[in-house]
Amino acid sequence: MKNRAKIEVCEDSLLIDKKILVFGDVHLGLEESISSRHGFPRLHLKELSEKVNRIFTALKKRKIKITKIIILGDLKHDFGSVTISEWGDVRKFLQKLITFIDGDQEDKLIIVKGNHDNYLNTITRKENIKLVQNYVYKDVCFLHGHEMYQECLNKDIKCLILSHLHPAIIFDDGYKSEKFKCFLKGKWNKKMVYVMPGFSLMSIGFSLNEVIDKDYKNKNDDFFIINNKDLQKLEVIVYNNKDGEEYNFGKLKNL
Amino acid sequence: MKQIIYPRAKLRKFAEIVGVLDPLVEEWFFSKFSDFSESQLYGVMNVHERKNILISAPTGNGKTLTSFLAILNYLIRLARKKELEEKIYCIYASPLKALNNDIYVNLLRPLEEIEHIAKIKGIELQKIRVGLRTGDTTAYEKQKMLKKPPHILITTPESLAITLTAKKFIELFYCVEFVIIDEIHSLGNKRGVYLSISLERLEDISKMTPVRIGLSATVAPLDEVANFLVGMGRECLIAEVKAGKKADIKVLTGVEDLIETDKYDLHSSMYGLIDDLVQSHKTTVIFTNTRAATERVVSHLKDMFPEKYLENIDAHHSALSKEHRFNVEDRLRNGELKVVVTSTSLELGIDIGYIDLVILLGSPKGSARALQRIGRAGHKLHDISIGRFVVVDRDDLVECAVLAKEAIEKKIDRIHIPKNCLDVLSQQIYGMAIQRVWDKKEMFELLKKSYCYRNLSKEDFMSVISYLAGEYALEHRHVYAKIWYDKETNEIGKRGKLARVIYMTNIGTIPEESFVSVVLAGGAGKGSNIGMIDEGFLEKIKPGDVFVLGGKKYQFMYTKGMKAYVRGGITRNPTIPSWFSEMLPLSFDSALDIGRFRKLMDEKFRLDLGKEKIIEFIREHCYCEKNVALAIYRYFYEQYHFAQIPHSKKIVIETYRGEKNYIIFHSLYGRRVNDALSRAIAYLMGQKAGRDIEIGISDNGFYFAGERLPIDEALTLLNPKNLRQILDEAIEKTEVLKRRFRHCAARSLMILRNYKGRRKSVGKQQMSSFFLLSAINKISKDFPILKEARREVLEDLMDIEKTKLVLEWINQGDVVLEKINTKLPSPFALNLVLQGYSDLLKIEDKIEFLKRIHKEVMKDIVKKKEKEK
Repeated sequence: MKNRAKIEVCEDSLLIDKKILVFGDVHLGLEESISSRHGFPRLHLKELSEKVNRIFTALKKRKIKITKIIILGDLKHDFGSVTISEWGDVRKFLQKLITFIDGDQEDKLIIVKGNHDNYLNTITRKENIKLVQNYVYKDVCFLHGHEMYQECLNKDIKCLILSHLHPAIIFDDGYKSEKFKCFLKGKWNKKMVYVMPGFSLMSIGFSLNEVIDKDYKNKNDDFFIINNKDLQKLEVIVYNNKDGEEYNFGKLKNL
Repeated sequence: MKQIIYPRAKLRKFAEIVGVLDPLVEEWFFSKFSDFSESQLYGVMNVHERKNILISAPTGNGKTLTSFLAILNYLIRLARKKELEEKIYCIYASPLKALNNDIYVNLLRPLEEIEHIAKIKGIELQKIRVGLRTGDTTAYEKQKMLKKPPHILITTPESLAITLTAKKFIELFYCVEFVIIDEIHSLGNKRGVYLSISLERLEDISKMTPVRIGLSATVAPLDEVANFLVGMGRECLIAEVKAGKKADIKVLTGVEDLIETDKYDLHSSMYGLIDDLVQSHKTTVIFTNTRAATERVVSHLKDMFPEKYLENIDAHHSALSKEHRFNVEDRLRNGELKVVVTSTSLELGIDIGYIDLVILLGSPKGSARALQRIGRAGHKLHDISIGRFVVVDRDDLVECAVLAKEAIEKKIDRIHIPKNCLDVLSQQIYGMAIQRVWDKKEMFELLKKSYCYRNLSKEDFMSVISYLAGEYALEHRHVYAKIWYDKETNEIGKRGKLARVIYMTNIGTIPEESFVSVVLAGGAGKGSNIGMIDEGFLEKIKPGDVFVLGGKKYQFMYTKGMKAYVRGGITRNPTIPSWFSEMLPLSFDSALDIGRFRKLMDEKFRLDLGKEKIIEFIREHCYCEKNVALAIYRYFYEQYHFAQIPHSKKIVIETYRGEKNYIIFHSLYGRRVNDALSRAIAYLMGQKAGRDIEIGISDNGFYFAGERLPIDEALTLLNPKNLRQILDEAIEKTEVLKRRFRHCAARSLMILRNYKGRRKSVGKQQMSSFFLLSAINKISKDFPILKEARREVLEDLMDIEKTKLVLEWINQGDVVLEKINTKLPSPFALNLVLQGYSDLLKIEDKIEFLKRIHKEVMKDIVKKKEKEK
């Protein structure tokens, strides 16, 4: 039992054993891919930095020191190549993250490769950052979620932490309808799984409970390693940044 | 500032006009006409004497020829003396591209014929050239024009603006003597605002001050339109030609009783009526109010009477291709079409040949528009225009009856000219900077000569300069500044090599609207294309909304690219009407007239005059037939006995509990006022109650639905003074502001639709503007283009000024508010409630909502668990 990692939710990221911070789907460069460069002030990086500051300020208050950050894939958005502003943004963002990590150990920052991260190695090589397909810590395996790897199915692995899905949930009371980012948590293939919301500020995510997206997802069952039917069995957790509370809404299928 | 009153032009003497005509022109004129028309008696001499003039006349009064006659006369004289210079003497700008035939009849043919007369007489004339420059003119033709400049240039407002920045073309403008603005009544929008600055720029370039001639259909207020034509500090004459064609106007209902008849019968008898009308006339134009309705009417007529309508019917609206529209116009002129169904695109003066009947299907929403549409029938001066209103429901019936009265009495509702539009200003300043280097003060003074910018503040002007110079940006290096502004020398000029190209390919004020195909997402017929909706509508609907398309109900699910995916087989009621985005608002003036009619009706009922007398009154008042009067009588009878009749002096506020709590305002002021009024009240209620509120708006009133509706508190808080501030806050997060912002951002060239030859899709523009808006909100609330989007929503889309007026009436007790409770919506409220909501005001905090829902979900879970036990 001593090798069990302790996992808690912390604003769009997970905190492992009070020392490892993990988040995924940052999608740097998203702004640029959908907007014209002219007359458009780019804000995503700035807002992401503010978000990271906020998380670390909260952790500091709790006297928690982070010794490792794991980025769970899709750090950058552009599939094709590394655009000039992505270069700058990715490097700035990574340099910023490193300043928050305590200590001088190896592999302070780990990037798990996502489906958008082609060509990322050109940057990570320069910054001397480890780029992996998946990463194991104690009984926990971290992977992006677009592909499954043999080693992650190992019996010793008790927990999978995934991103890629951008889960969100829509609540509707007949008067009002709002969309929230959410975590999914529950048993799958005899393992515990956590699905993280996207860390990006540009979009909330794909709603899992609305008719629309259900049909949409059915068509794309190979989008995510957990199929839609099994997703329904996971519990929905919404984290409230304002007062740091978690709300468990029970299983997705009941919503 | 008070409106300047301009002198009215006097009718000039026949002999006086003949006296100034060149013998060739005189001979030509009297070979064609026996006498001058009224507008010619007013106009020709004044143009000859180089006086600015606005000529307002009904269609068919020879306005176009009036403007050209004096100018042709002048040019012929020069040509005779071989004194014609290589320059543009006259610019004719019209909002229509398709004016060819009108120009042919009134300019090219006269010119040919005069030349012919000269030839016979052996008089040698220099060639007078006419050039056409629109968006469709080829580069070759433009080149040719530079070598041999046309003496008369025919153009559109957009093309005129482009030529004003084209280096070589400007040289041809060095001494323009006349500018004719045609169809000026249709320029009460940003196109007109745009043109008003172009005219000032032209005046700046030209050494001579060109005479401005405005041609308009019947329009009001004339003085404002004249001011708009000539700008500030210039004189103008107004010629108002009243005598037009005689009109024969009637309101018709397809059935005896609009409420008791079931929908199917109503439908078939309405089309039966239309068919009868069409068959008993030679050529008919049917006006509907929306493009969707236009298509619907064509397909219903074809379906119901396949033997009668096949090749001889077609649609004409702005979403159809140019080729299609030209083809329809040609076939109309050639008499090949029996009937054409249109929305607004045939309202303007496109020559469509001989039409003997105009059917107005549904209210045209204003008397000027009604007259304009009816005037399309019987084009010649002494013909009679036959106009028939065919009504679709009971509100429409009352509205049409009153509009018909206004049209018969020739009472015209007033147009609205937007002012201080900062997006148009940005585009024009950019254009000016491309043209040359300006002194800041000189530029400001030029702009203030335009009527639309007479009150432009220095602050607004400077904030536009700052925006264009790239000073607003967070990160300077990423922002593309369009001009440079030197604070030391106060000079302004263009920046960047591509400036001219960017300007020319992105110019214009009409927002780009695109259409989205609607596709079935699942079930039988999966992937099949159902039809098209316009992008404005797409922005209104949320996933889960139910709407009607082609007579069937669909639930909107999601969009992907330029496709909207929907589910079919829906039984729920529509949550959003599909024509909503393109609805014409009822004009304030006409709305007030309907309110006055309601008041008269209320009085008759209170006096208990009895059915016969009241019907007699309706017949006299609205000049309508007995069955129409009877239907109106019944509608009012039910309202009077069920609840109360709201009218011009009384707003009835009706409360009832249906599936939700409803509060219905019977405020008949047109949608533009109701939009503003309802949002202000809803916002105040939302502030008090902390819950979201559903709002439904129509021309006749609005309703609120929600859990808590503290109406009394809201009404106490609202007054004419705080209205703007409340509305500014209320529209802050609305879809409509976002959408208008996108349009303004495109107009002010923040979002380039076209860059280096690549066109940006509307979808991409939307995304850009979304991010742009969130960025700007963080930079400054007073960013000029955001400010403009707000102004456009409050002043152009809504009517904040008239809303203020209504609030003043309420404050002074001129209009009373009367609250009543009903068990069911009253007859007058029915259409309003059935139409569904137009917007949802979001008030409650997202987190509070989350907590509330969580509690409810937990309760459910606990219950379930208890059951399981």
